Amino acid sequence: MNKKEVFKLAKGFRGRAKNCIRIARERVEKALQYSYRDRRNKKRDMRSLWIERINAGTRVNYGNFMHGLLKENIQLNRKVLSELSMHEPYSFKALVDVSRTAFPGNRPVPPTPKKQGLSILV
Amino acid sequence: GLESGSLGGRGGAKLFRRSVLVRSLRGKGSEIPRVLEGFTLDFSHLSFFYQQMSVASQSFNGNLKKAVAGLRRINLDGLRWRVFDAKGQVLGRLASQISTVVQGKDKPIYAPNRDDGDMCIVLNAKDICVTGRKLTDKYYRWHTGYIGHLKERSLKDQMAKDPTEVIRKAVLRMLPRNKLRDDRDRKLRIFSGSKHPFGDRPLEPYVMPPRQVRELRPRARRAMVRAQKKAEQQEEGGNKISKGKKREEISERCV
Repeated sequence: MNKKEVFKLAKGFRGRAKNCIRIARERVEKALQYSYRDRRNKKRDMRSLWIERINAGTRVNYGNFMHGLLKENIQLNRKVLSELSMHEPYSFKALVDVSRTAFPGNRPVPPTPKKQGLSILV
Repeated sequence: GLESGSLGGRGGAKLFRRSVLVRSLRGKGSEIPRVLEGFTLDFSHLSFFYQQMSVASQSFNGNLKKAVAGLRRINLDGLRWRVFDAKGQVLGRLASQISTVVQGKDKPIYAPNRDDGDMCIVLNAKDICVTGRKLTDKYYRWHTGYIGHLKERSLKDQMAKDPTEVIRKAVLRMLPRNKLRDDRDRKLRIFSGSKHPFGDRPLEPYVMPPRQVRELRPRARRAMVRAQKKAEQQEEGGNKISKGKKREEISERCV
């Protein structure tokens, strides 16, 4: 592409990369490569962000929660689940309860009283 | 799409922190669903803590300047003040929980580009426990830049010098190394005793998640049995305490 297009794409670059054609051409090529790669990475990053949010929203950990939903054949995807956990806590709580009943043994257990001294051997 | 539109930087974050949900829940204290317990303010604890902490703040005689330093830099509205009690907790496990809270990863509105963690107050830093021989064998090392000047200090000496540094280092080294790390450091307030000057704030105690402690290895178990028996004998007799007991006591306290 010609210089005009290169400089158009090089807007906002640091230092000589926005002004001098030799440097700008290199940086613009790199920028286009990054943007190609990151269009694919963005989908991965967003998914991991949704998973982090769902994990924060449930007291049960994420793996058990998703397993419970799978058992109940709830087909909500992670994007929607993360939005629910942010904006609709009551609905999300209902989902967490459904998951807990489907995959039992997830209730937060109160810590058992610690055995002191020789009673450990018993 | 959805993410950038709904969050929109600081303004969006403020909307979610003091969300409609919190305002609507202020009336009904007992009806908070369990999922939200960690997220919305838990008002049942407040009144008890208020009385306790106001007494404590009057008698705080530590370094007040250092304790409230940099508070103005933090955008405090909507953030909770969580109190961690380090008494009898294992160092690394406590630091791991603190780092999750300070990053804001226990809130469903977490976003990696902005810092939304709660203020964390850690009390009783001098009563932190470590397992094994770490008290004498764990070294903090740093290089001053001059050749040959690798300095080291053991945990025991560090606790004697400044016990808050132990927890601070542990938590800082667990945070991601990015530009938010310094801001998160500013949100950590660690005190070696149980008194602190933040009594007038709404504080919430942090309940550590239940932990499955592994059972003692055979050698450690036999050592502890011996120590117990000696302690029982000592109550009757009054023998001299042997040096080997120290290790068992520490591991006993941490378990």
